[in-house]
Amino acid sequence: MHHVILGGSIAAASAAAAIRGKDPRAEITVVSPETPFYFRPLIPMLMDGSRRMEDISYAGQVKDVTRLISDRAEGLDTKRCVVALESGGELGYDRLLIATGSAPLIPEIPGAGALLPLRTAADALELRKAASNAKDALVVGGGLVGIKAALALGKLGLRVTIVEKLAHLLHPRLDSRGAAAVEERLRLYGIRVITGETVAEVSTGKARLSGGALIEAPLIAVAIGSAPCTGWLRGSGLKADGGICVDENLMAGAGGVFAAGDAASFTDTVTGLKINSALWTNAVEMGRIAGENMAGGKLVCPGIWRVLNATEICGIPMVSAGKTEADPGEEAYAGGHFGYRKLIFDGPRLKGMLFMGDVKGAGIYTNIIRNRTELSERQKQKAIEATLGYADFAMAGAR
Amino acid sequence: MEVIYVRPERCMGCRSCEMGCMVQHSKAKSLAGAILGGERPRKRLFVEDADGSRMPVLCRHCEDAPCIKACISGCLYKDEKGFVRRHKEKCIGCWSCVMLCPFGVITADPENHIAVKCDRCHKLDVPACVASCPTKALVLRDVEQIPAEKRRRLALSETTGREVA
Ligand SMILES: Cc1cc2nc3c(=O)[nH]c(=O)nc-3n(C[C@H](O)[C@H](O)[C@H](O)COP(=O)(O)OP(=O)(O)OC[C@H]3O[C@@H](n4cnc5c(N)ncnc54)[C@H](O)[C@@H]3O)c2cc1C
Ligand code: SF4
Ligand code: SF4
Repeated sequence: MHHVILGGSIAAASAAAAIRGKDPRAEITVVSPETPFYFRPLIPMLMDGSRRMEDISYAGQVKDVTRLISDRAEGLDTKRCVVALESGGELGYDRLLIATGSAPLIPEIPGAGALLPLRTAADALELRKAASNAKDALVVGGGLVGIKAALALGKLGLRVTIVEKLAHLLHPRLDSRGAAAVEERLRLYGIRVITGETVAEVSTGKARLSGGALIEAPLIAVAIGSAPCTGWLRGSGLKADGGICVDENLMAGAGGVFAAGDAASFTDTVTGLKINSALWTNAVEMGRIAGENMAGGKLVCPGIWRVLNATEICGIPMVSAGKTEADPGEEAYAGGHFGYRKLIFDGPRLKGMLFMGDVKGAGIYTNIIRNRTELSERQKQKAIEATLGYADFAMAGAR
Repeated sequence: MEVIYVRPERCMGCRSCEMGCMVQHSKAKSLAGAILGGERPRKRLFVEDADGSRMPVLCRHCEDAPCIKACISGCLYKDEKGFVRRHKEKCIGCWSCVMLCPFGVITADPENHIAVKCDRCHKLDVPACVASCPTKALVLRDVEQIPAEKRRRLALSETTGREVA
């Protein structure tokens, strides 16, 4: 059986391992236009120079791929089961996984060509090079990637400004209170933060903000999110609504074609809404499920996460999952003695959590959210008091 | 394969296991020595109080470990004995593993920016927590010796990483 995987990143690696696990004799071909198999979330460290490419590569651990082709998919014919490649050739498959990920969004403004994204290892090195010739930098977008880029630029000695269109940073991973704490800490680290504005226009060395201010910025990085790489599927008959639409087995309509990771869209576990997968953890899980099913399995994807993030920014450890703002009918408990903690309940079920400062035991809470566990009054109270532990579930049956 | 088997009904909550763990994972290999030497030894298992019932909660070295799947740096891995361990130098302190361990037993060492977890005392014949427990609430057992029903529950919780009542 010939399995073709488009894209050589984490969804691909996870799928390849799952295929091999089920079918030791499978032939697995990976097509990737860039260096395959590196830890994408670590590219800010490539940018600030604290890691080298060989430090962030896991290509050595990927042992299940039979053949690696350095090329890009340009078209798909699901009737003949062939992929058209950029180099001109065609590649036939028995099973196909689309794991082409996502690409950075670039705002449609005058001078947009000068904006530098941070999505690939090559982007990171490009930014590093640009930083060596600049004293000031502007980062457009105050999400996780924008903040990591800003901190890397700051580490390289640049004066950095972040401009965020929304009212606060890191939406929806943090609520306004949590974001205020991060903003304050960033300022302490010498990074200027402007919220409620965006860039309107870019010309040599300068950027004009939507509010009218002109900012000195020989280097402008852009991190306003990313969109699934599905443009090349036009005319293939596959449905894409943001990401590629897949059924519960992660099959993309046509026979033998699957999609996983950032390229796909699926149901959010917590809200039930259709979302683009944009997280590492989603890509690992979807890759595993798609891989199993490509090799004949019938696994069902229970859902993916819109918010499931852990990180540390300027010395503040944080974890958020599910949602960070309560919807009507839900109760939110916010406070905390050491740092900041917020829990959002829909009756006995936990829907969202945000821990900042102390993240111990976060996994117990994400597990409750995922499993839609119905908490007892006592368990809920302990969750709010921050004393809930695994024993409260293990011993519940024993008593 | 030998696993650390927990018998919560024997646990008195004396926390000897936590102490044994801290000492074993200190450089000085004694509590006084560690504290005098300026170390802040961290425990890797936790005696929890579930409204009067005590229970040591420790790493299951899960089959399909959620912490490994969460790790975005390649730090966590399964060694040849099946123990989930760290390549310490690779950890970037992103706390993704803390976010997904369903037992809450991998924790953040904020001073050293490194995730801390049970290494099953892989250099010792008997793990320090097991050796320290005066009531034998923690024992080493061959998986085969565990009664079938308990083994099913244990396997389920280990393989799915979910709590099993
Ligand atoms: C700086 C940064 C930090 C991040 N931090 C986190 C984090 O802390 N936690 C988290 O959960 N997520 C994080 N993410 C997101 C995470 O990296 C992605 O969700 C994850 O990489 C998605 O994996 P994937 O395999 O679906 O696709 P990708 O990693 O996007 O890889 C897709 C691959 O497909 C290739 N490709 C594209 N088009 C084609 C084509 N037509 N034919 C063949 N190949 C193609 C691309 O070149 C790419 O190599 C971060 C992302 C960035 C950029
Ligand atoms: S998920 Fe938790 S219990 Fe399982 S191996 Fe990792 S640290 Fe241990
Ligand atoms: S904190 Fe360290 S071990 Fe845990 S996920 Fe991040 S890099 Fe991996």
